[in-house]
Amino acid sequence: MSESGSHPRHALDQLIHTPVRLSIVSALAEAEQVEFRFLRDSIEVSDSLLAKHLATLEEAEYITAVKGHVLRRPRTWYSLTATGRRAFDDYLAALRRIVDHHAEEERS
Amino acid sequence: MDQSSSHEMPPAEALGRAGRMSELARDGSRWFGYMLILLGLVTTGFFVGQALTEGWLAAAFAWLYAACVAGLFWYVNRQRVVSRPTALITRRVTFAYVSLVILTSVVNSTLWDDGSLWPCLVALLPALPCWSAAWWVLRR
Repeated sequence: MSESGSHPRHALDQLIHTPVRLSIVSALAEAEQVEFRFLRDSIEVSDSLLAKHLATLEEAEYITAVKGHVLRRPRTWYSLTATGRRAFDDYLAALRRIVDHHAEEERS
Repeated sequence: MDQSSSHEMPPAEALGRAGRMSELARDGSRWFGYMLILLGLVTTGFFVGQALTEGWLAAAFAWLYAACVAGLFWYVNRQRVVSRPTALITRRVTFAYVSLVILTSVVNSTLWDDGSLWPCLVALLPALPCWSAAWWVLRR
């Protein structure tokens, strides 16, 4: 997913590096399971847009979905896979490198 | 929030966004700790009520306990975030709680003489796994 090059920005996973998908992955990295409505309400996006981004992450095997019923109501729960967690850790590390790099550039 | 997937996010903004979402998910998962504190209180209240009262008042405590447990079950089912520690300890806490509720019921109904204050002390037993798990979950 990352571009080639020596600048740290090339190490950024472009699959995660969008506002909605970053928000999804950040929430899932903190919790074991998160329900669709929590993501929708926290990220403040429409059902269809969120579903589109979730499908992209699911396709990349970054997240998994479990469908079920709670008191007869359908619910979908999402979790981060090991691949997704690794990708997110790498992404955060790359982000921090860029921020540090930028701070160093400003100092010099 | 920007809904465009092609929006170019500055790294500092991306870090901030990740931090905010982590915090929201963490806050959303605290319910388990609060639920355990309440369950411990309700259970202790039930056993103390059973020990100190009899007749319709003891029955009222039993009904109140059942209603609170049903309410907590409803509350649990409404939650949208399950934290990693919650997923890790739910089974163990449930097993310890149910075992200690059974043990407390048996001990309090067979061992003590009337007027003894021991049932009130033993009533704390089922709450211990709840409160220790709540402390463990909430301090994280």
